[in-house]
Amino acid sequence: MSNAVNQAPAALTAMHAEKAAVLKRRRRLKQNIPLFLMLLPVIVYYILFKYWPMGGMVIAFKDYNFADGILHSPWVGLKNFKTLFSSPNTLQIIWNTFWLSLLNLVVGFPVPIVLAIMLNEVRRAWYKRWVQTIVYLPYFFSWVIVAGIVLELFATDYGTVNKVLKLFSIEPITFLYEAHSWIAIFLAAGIWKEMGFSTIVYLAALTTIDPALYESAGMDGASKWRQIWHITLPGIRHTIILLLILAMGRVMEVGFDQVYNLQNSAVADVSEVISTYIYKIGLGSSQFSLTTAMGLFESVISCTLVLLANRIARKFDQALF
Amino acid sequence: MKNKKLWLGMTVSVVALGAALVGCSSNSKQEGASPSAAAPASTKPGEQPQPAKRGDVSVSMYDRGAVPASEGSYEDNRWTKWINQNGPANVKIVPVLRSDSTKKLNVLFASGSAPDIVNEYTTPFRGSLYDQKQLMPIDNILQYMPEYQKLLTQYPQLKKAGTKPDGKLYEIGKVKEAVPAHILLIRTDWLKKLNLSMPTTTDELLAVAKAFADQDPDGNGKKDTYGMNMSTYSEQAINEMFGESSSSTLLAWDLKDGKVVRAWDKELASLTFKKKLYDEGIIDKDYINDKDGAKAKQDFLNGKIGIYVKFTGGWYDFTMNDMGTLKKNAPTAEIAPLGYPKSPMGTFTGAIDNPVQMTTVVNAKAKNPEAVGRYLDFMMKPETASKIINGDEGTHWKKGENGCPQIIDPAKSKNEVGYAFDYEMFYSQGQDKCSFVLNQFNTSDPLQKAGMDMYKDVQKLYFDSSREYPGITVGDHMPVFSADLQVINTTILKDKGDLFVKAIISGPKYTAEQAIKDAQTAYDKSGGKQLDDFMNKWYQDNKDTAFLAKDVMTIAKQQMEQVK
Amino acid sequence: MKATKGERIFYAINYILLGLLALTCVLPFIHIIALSLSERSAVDSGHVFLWPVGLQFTAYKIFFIASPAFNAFKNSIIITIIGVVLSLFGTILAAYPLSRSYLFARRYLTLGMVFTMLFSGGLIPTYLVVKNMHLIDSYWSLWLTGFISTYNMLLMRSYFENIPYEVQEAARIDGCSDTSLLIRVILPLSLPMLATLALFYGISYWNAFMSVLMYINQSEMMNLTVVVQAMLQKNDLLNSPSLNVEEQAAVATEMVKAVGVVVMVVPMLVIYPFLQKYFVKGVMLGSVKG
Repeated sequence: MSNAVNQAPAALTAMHAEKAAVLKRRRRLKQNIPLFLMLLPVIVYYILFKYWPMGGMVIAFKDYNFADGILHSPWVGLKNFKTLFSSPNTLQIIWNTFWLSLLNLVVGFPVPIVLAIMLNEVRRAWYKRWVQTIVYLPYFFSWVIVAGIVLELFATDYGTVNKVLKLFSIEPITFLYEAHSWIAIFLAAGIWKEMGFSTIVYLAALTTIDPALYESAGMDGASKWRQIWHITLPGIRHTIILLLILAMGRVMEVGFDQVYNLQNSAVADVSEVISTYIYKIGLGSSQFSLTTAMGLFESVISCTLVLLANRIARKFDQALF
Repeated sequence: MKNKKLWLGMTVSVVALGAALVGCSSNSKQEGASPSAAAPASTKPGEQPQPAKRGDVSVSMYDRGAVPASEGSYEDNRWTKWINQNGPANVKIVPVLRSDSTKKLNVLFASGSAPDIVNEYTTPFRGSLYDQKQLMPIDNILQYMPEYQKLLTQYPQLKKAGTKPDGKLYEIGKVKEAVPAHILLIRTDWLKKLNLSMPTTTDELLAVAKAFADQDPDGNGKKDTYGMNMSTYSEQAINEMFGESSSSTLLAWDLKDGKVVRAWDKELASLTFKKKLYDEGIIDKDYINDKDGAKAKQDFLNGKIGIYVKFTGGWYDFTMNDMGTLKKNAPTAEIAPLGYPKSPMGTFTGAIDNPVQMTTVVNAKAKNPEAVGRYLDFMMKPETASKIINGDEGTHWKKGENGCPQIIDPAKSKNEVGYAFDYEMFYSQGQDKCSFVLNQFNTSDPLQKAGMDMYKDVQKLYFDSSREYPGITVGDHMPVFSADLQVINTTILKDKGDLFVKAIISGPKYTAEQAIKDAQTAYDKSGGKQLDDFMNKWYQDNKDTAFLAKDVMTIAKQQMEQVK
Repeated sequence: MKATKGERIFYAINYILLGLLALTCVLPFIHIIALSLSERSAVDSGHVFLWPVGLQFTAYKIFFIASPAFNAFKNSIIITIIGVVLSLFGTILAAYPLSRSYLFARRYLTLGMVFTMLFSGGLIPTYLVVKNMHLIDSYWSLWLTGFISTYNMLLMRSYFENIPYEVQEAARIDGCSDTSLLIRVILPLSLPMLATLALFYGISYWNAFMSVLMYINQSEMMNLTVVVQAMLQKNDLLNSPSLNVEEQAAVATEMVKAVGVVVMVVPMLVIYPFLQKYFVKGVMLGSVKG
């Protein structure tokens, strides 16, 4: 007797739950319509201008030439890859690309964050504005110009740094011709040039932090450092992780201009990267097949790294997708 | 899981669809425009070709950002109007940025929308067009080009250089005044001050350069002078002194007993010399970072270099500007050209700037080959060329005392005429002695006369036929490697370059001999033998038809005669 | 609230370090400006440092009058302004739906877009697509191919996702639909990110080089970046008949480069302070409390 009474409300709840679920699904569907209307032009854009041309990646497996076009150029399977990887230097070149990128990431990634926080702590608005604007200037200098500046500073005979060292009776150091110092200068130049740009993103993110949090922390006696560690950094956590994952996707992309303008024969062992190597192979008729093949190779590696980074980010509930 | 599969499937089909659509459209374009190349008009010998209906021709041209707003644009200005009014065809100009010309042209060819006439200096690019069957043989339209036929007879080197492996003529070129690519200039006031004489051997050169670096010839109490410079092309000049013409893109090849070999012995000699220059502080220790020679030029203009290797281009500009700057910074400076000294490997002269330069090819898909031929012929007529390059007689120039055009107002000419010279990119200035360097100068101006006389000395020294030419031929005329060989070539060039630099800057730790040995090992390991075989086959097949060193010297001599 | 001693030291060090950093960034630019205003012999001899030697405006005169630069400048402005508006619009259209947790296939749509950041067909296939759509020689080729930068879109999506839920809940209770939620609530709270992306897209369109080079044939439609680059090739003395060497005499390549840099960079410097106005702290705060 008691069972029947107990079961009745349970069944009712189940029925309610089911109905609620159906209603929820219908509501969700209705909610999705305006969203997909918004997404329509976006999806068209991606299909037309991103996915449609992706078909051209097949060039990597063909001996592409203008006469036959993309469709009819002969298939050569992995021949292009074999050609690219046949040089005894190839492994070294790939390693250089990877290594320089990784260093750039480890050393360079925190810099815009630190810079943004420092700017955030400036209390005089005019000073903050000026420094903000000036600090993103180098982004607009071409690498030819930046390489010229590097030379002015670090040349053996007439470089500013060595001239200063001479005043202290120290022998001139060949900064640009030793692997370690060259790499350090290479990274520093890149970081200096690009820091102002990413700083802007972090500055925008910093505006979303509630100033009241700082006030109450200050009243509780927290020092500046503790405030930054416990309020500021967590406040922009999502932005940091997003940019970190995206940076993974660019790991194989050591900028051609940066390397080409800064490299020299003395440090060729560490400064030859994929983009400069392909440039030197020249203007032969199979240029497109080779370039596409190398691009495909780089893309596969970047993709793997991004997926990996995303998996890790998911643990912190910050996954990209 | 099911969703993932669905998504993957959709992506793959979209990509495949994309490939199909992309392929289809570009393909249909190519099918539609069937090459009309093979139909020469049937003209019986002796019969005048009928005046052709006015056809349409499209021509590519370098965009150097040089057209003043007041003149219009590269496509529409007073000169294009004149050409369209007086020429045989309706011309459409397609401007192409000089710095990225091959990228743009590649994309135009890939999409089937390239112009009929393509003007492009980059030899491997034209070669790749030939490989991909994008070119029309010039033989088909020569009948419409009497001017060029004349040139081909007078300068058979043009035919040699423009013929491709299938035996047909594909490239049109021009004959330019032969100028030495780089020359040595020495501070004669320093020689006098230090009581030295002009060096005639490489050992003497080394001694003089060292004196310049060590003995404070500018008398300012500081050891801040250089004996020579060695950045980029200046390093090439030093190589040439020892008979090898290697550069960052070219290996040094030599002819021995009718075979092509790698010039290892000459490279050893030049490397040893360069190492000495570095070790003894004669050159800027940062020379490898002076990538365009700007720092060396600066040092020279500041009066700090004793023997300066100069890029010969722009002798007029050098006379009018650089000499003045030098005198401003170092009032007692006197310079004179110095011929290459005798080296243990022989006496050589510097490389000569390509006097037979191929510039133009015709698109296989050109719809109106006759119009193309007639247009080229019209532009090659000396009267047309003179008008486009110099401007209108009376307005822009008048006849000077040597019978050559003298510019009336440089500023006016610069504005109204200066930008147009690329329209005549394929015109053989080499047949017009008025365009030669020596005729640029106004002899009544003492500064200009001095520049002119100096150039006469340069020619005497550098075109001396008792000197050997370094290398087999001018760089531009060396055979182009196929893709696989190009990869090997690039690897070898890089290895050799790196080893040589290491030898130069590492002091006693790494000798030149060691570098050569290691370079040879790397050469063999990377497949250098394939390059040897390729070069030898090329030479055997082409030694009678290719444009070689002796041909260059012949032209240089011919031209010197004209300006006596 | 008065700063403690520790805080004052912190601020002082902060100011000094930032000042030094700013100095390293601005000195090269001052040097370039000086180069553009100096006379040729001083430039060639390397005698110009932070102040013009032999002040002259010839380089600028030549730049604007003797070349298509002025027209190109106008073109650059058109391309940039319209491009920024279109791209912001597109980015919002993409970022907003992707920021809603109830979007159907949200993960896969995002993945699909991120995928395009990693894989690309390359120069020729993209060109063929643009050509087959008859967009050559139209600025639409630039605006459509640059419509949405996935990178920027992800930044905006992240920003949207982090807008406090309470604010949106409040608006929904008041009966807001998705679209008016976007327009009335989300966007006004996203001004800092909108300003940031306006700047990013602006920089990208202003400096557009390869895309203009490929998709535009007519020289009258070229933008400033291309014209400046073309002018740097002007002194290619090797290939010009000697008669024309004289025209290239007065302005050396270094000076043309310098003028080019100044003209390209100054607009970027002028725009940024305007956008900084939108980087206002606690913009979201007021809406929750109030």
